[in-house]
Amino acid sequence: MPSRAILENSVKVAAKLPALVLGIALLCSAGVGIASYISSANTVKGQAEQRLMALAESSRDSLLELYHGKQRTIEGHVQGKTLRAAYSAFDAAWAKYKDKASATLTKIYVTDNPHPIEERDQLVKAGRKPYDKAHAKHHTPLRDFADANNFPDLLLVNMNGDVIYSARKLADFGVNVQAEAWQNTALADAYKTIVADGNGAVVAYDPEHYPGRDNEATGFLAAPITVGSKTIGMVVYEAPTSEVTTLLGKFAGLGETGETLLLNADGLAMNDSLRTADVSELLSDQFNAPEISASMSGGNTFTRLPDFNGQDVFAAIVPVTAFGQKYAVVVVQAASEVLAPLTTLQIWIFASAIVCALIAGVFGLVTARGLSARISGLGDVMNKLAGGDTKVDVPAQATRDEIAEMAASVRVFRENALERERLEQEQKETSFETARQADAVASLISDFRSEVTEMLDAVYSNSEQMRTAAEELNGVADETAGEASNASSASEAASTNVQTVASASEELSASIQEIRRQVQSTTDIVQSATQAAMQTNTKIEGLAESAQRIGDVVNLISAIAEQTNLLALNATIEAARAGEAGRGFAVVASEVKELATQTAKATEEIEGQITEVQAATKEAVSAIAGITETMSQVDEYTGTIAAAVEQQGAATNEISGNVQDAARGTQDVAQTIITISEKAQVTSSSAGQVLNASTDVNARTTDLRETVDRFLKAVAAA
Amino acid sequence: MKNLVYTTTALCFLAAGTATANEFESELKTLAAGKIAEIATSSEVIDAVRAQNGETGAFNQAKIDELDKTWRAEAEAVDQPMIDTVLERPLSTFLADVQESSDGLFTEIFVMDGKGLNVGQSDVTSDYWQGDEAKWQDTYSNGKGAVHISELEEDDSTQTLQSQVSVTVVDPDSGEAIGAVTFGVNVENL
Repeated sequence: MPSRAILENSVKVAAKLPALVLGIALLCSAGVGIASYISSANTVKGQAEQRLMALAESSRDSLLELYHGKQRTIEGHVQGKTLRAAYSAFDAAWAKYKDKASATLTKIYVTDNPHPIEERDQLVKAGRKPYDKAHAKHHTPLRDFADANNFPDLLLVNMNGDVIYSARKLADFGVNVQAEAWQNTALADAYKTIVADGNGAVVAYDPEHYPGRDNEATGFLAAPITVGSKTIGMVVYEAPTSEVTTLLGKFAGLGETGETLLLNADGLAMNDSLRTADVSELLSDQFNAPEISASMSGGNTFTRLPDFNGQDVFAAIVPVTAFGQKYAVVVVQAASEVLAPLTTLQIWIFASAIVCALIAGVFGLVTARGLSARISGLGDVMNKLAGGDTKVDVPAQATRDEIAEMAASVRVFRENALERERLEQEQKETSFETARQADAVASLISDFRSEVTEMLDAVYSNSEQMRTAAEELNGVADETAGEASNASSASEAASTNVQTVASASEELSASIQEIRRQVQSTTDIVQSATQAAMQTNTKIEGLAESAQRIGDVVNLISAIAEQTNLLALNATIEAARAGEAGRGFAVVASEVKELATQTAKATEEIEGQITEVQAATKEAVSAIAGITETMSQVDEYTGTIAAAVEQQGAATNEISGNVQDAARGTQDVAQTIITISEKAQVTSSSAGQVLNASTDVNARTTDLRETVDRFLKAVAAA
Repeated sequence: MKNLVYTTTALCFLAAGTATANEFESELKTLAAGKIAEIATSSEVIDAVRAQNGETGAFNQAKIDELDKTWRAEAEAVDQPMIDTVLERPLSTFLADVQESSDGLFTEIFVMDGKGLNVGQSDVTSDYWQGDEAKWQDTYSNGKGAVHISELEEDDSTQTLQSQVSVTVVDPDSGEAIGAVTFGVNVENL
């Protein structure tokens, strides 16, 4: 059909709608985003230009002020009498030394200067000679002037080109500027210009590498010293480059990357950027650009320099003229820093655009899908209806829109088609009704017959199966019963054995108890024996002590006996002396002596006895010790026995316990066996019942079969 | 600033032309009786003066003039043998020390003998013979206790506003004048 062909070649609504919504969303977001980005970029750039230009101009103004200030100071100084007087004094004094001036004075004021190199200007009075007097008088005001006006050095040069004085006494003190080493310096040039050619104004020399300061960048301002119209000498001030650096080293408003540079007409930097503390930009030619040179002859310029010492920057260039020379103040800031706010903006715009587009796309997609699903659903139904399928269901519509109205119409179409079908059907049915009935009955009969036959066959086979099963069950039950009785007798035997073990362990336990008792009484005996031994020991000690005491007494007696002996001796002597009268006494004395001797003998005997007693005591002590030791050994053995007995007792208990468990176990087994036996009985009787029942069923099935047969035959005949 | 005021004051005095007495006269007199007298009576000074008097006592004016001329020529020259001799004397070193330790009060000190010739000095002077000047005449001739105070002036060689105070040097044994000593006093440091 033509309409269907067209449908297949064009794009579906399901795709068109979301695509449209997404497209519009993207367009709007992009448009807004781009417009606002461009506007912001311009604003940012415009503001950067204003800011940098303002900084450049204010730097230029400050520089001019500085330069003019210096110029006026110099002019004032040069016209003043102090400088002239000083110069004349130095010049005259210098001349007195003739051709030894340089050597002599350099030695005194530089080489032999007692101060360290950075304080050489502290030397005021070095001696009594004419130069020293001039120096003593004029040096301090000159030095103070240089200090006050930030001139790193101040030099006086005579008409011969000799540097007859310098405030700081550095390498250029006392040299002649026309000498080979100096003839390429600014000093030589100044000398030529001022002294030789008679130039009357202040001449400025940009910083350049100068041998007098270890090749550091040094600039000079030179002026003639005149009396009337006649030039009598030259004064040279070292330019305050560090002051310029400090002046331009203010980074307010320049963020992290901005800086200010002063370039001269040759494109060399006249200041050092304070951004880089360890690198000096002075005299660097890396900062030159054609725009800068152009600006020096033109005017203020604001531009972008993609390669300014390797950086991409925005530059505000302001020309400035000083001392008749052209310079340019260049204030730069890294383009990335200037445009930094834009980067953030870019990201925000991009993000919002994407988010909006996504939301719109999703929304569009969802709506479109809904609509097109409904439309195509309806389309399907109509197709089917047109093809003759009236069974389709028109889907229900949730909203009351055009599609819902279309659905209602389709519903009406379907109703009509259904109605038409129904009427056709009724007609057909009436004519076929009768023929149909007869056929139906015949088929019913045959169906019934086959079905019944099937069913009865099934029943028969089932009952056969039941019988077989019942017989089997019977057999099993019998076997089980047999086995159960076997088991029963076995467990009884086990039970008996358990009993035996139990009683045996009882006996064992009893004997162990007996042993324990015996051991205990043994231990007790041993204890009392040990105690007795201890007591005996004590008694024996007592004995020993007594023996000791006896010994002591004996000793005493012995001593007494000695004494008595002596006494007797004395008495004998006395008696002898007394002669006759003492004879009786002598007899007594000899008697006493006799007694003493006997006593001594007796004591000896006693001592002997004591010794024996002591020996006997020692033996007794050792015997007792022996007994005690034996006792403790016995104690040990009984202890061991007791422990062993304990162990045995524990083992016996365990045996008892286990035996109990075993006994219980056999009980359980016996019980279980009985239960099994009973169950086997029950099974047996049930199986018998089943057998009977199945036999019964078989008989009845056969009857039923015959009855059905008879009925069906009757119906077929009717 | 101070310098300017004093300079102006000094110039005013000078311009007036009259021998206006030194404004600081009384303070200088006190100084003369004090510190200055101390040094004038120190043994270094007296011994040196005595010694030189022994030599120069015999000099006639012609000799004196010759010496003075030599000195003045040398003062302008680079080679200064005579000046060096005098300034390297112990007395000169002594006087230089005194000047240095005076904290800027004394700008110069020089001792003159019986003829007015320099015996010793703290720094080089422009001439050798003071015999024709009031500073020597008014002291030496007037003997012990004489004090001469000059007018204030802005000194060329010392660049300060100063006054010269001179006293007689007296031999303690004889009590007679044997010479004089002049102190340049920086009145700003009084």
